[in-house]
Amino acid sequence: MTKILAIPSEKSMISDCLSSCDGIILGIQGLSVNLPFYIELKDLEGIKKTNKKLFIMLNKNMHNHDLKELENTMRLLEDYPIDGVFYYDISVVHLGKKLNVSYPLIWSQEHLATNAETCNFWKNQGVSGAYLSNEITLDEIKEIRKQTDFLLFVCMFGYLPMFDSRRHLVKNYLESFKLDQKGDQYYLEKEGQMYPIVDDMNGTTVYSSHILNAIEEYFILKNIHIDYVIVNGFHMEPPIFKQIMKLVSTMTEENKVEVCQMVDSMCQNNVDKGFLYKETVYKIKEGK
Amino acid sequence: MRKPELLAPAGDLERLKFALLYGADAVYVGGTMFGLRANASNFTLEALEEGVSFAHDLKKKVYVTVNIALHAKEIQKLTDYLKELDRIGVDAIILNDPAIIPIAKENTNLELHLSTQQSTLNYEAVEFWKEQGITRIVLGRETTKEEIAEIMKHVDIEIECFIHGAMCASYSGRCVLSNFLTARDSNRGGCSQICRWDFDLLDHEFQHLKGEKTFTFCTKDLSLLKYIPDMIDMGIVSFKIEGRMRSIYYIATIVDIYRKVIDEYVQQKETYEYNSEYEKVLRNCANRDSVPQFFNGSEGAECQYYNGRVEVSNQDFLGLVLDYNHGYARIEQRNFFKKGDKIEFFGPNKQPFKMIVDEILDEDDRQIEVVRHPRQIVKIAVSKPVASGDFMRISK
Repeated sequence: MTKILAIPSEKSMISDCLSSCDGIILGIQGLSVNLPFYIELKDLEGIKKTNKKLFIMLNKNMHNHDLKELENTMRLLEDYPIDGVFYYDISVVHLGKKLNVSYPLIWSQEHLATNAETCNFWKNQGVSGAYLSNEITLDEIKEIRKQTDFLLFVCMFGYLPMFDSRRHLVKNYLESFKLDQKGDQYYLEKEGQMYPIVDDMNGTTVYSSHILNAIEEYFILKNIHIDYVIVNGFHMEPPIFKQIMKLVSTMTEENKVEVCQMVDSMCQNNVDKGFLYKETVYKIKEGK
Repeated sequence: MRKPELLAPAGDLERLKFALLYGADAVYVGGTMFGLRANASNFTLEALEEGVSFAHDLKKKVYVTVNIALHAKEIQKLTDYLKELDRIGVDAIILNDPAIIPIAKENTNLELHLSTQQSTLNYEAVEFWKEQGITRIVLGRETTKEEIAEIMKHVDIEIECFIHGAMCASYSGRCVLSNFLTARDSNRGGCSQICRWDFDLLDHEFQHLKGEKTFTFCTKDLSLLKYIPDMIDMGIVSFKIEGRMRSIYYIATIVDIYRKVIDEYVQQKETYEYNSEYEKVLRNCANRDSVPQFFNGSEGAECQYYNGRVEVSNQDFLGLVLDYNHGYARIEQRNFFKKGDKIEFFGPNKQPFKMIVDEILDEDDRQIEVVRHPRQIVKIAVSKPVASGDFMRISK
């Protein structure tokens, strides 16, 4: 059974997400990036009173000064009934070994999770699963599934992160030209496309202009035994995201096309299929 | 005091030779597959074999980048490729995807360096990679001097840091703008440098935020010339120059300057003084401004091109010396020059010298006044002996 995990659009939606979906993913203040909001560790108390899944995203690029807090957080997470921790920075794996944590670690290096061999490398390091890159095709996802028994997570819906920087690119620009800051969320426009850009305490993140809508592909992913699909509420109006979660969680093979179209419409047709059917190109010459 | 390795980029065999002759201790190159500069000329296995032989004769080293994010179809070809690199005798591979580690260990004796694409920024991560058999870490370019020192205090492993060249605006490996905007895979060598494009910036209510210049991610280049003594004192093993797509003139110039600074400091630490003339040479050679970036804690607007990006085409490089005979240098022209111009020659292991062009002969030994044709071959009378591979540049 392929479980549906939600990334809530805002903190107040946690219970809605838990009731609609099979579980949620949350980020911790100071140790996570690319999420709609971040919680304190103490906020976890009381969240999981059901048998739904609860994953934590510790996906920041860690610097030395983050390590103490990271180690402390990883230790304290043992006290909560979580189902796994997603990581980008390899310090999480090393600390996980040192602390002998009992919760599963999920490799989540965004754009780098592109093949089964690397999944198996991490498996040999005691890691339990991989959140696959959004930039690979559906055929490549199928191929990875065939070649590893790792837990696999695939994004099925949402804006996709394209760029992460330590730099405060928007704030620096506004300061340079003496323009007023207007919160953390902005847009970049290029050739009619609007790309959400967030400049917060973590630095700068840029997202895709279109929302990935691979809801129609859910049953394909289910048939090839992908373990989890992720529905991301970043930058979504909570009432709309709530409806989408409800539709997705009750969708059947028979009405999937109709549901997908309804979701398209709710997103004002600002949707696409990401790279599921579009292979990226690069110059590769046959080597001797 | 340990003398650091000066590590230069080499997009092809010609650049490899220039980099090593001008003072690099090692070069890093890409093969025709698996490297992140798919648009560089890169090395066939035959060229690589020649390059390794050339380097080893000089007691220098060659590292090969195998640092793309691998997809299944590439992995099928990887084992044979690594075996070939091992047979050729390359001194290390620079990898990003850890799937390569067990394959390399099982099939080769290759030394393994970790690419900056992994954005390694802390000592816990460095410790992990050391345990996997990685012998050198190319740190993320977002590390400060203090962070590097702390990493080195915790883990005994070779540390390589970038000292000069272009910067990613993002954490390396964490940008796929190129994939989304041009369908070219940035983590497999297809980066189309979207970070140098201009964008309009809007607030969350879609109102334009217009400065005097449009928004861009574009960063200035990195230069740590002033910090070389600090880095030597810290014990950083390898100083890396970015730019496998750069010209032979650029590589020779940058390598030459950093070679001088490293040697001067190591040989006479007590009397060493920063030479601003070197900075001037680097500035003249570059087509973008450069700053120390994160190394000295800078990450603000001063590192960006918000105030107008100045990217000038460099025309300092006047010609390449092909040979020298009885007071005349035979030159292959690269930029316009004429009689009366002030020029400077520089080459490996010699002091640069300046002179004024007072006699130019064409290939039929006829006197000419100007050299205007690209790659035109001419002879000029020189005041001191020069040698094949020396460069002629504008004297400023």
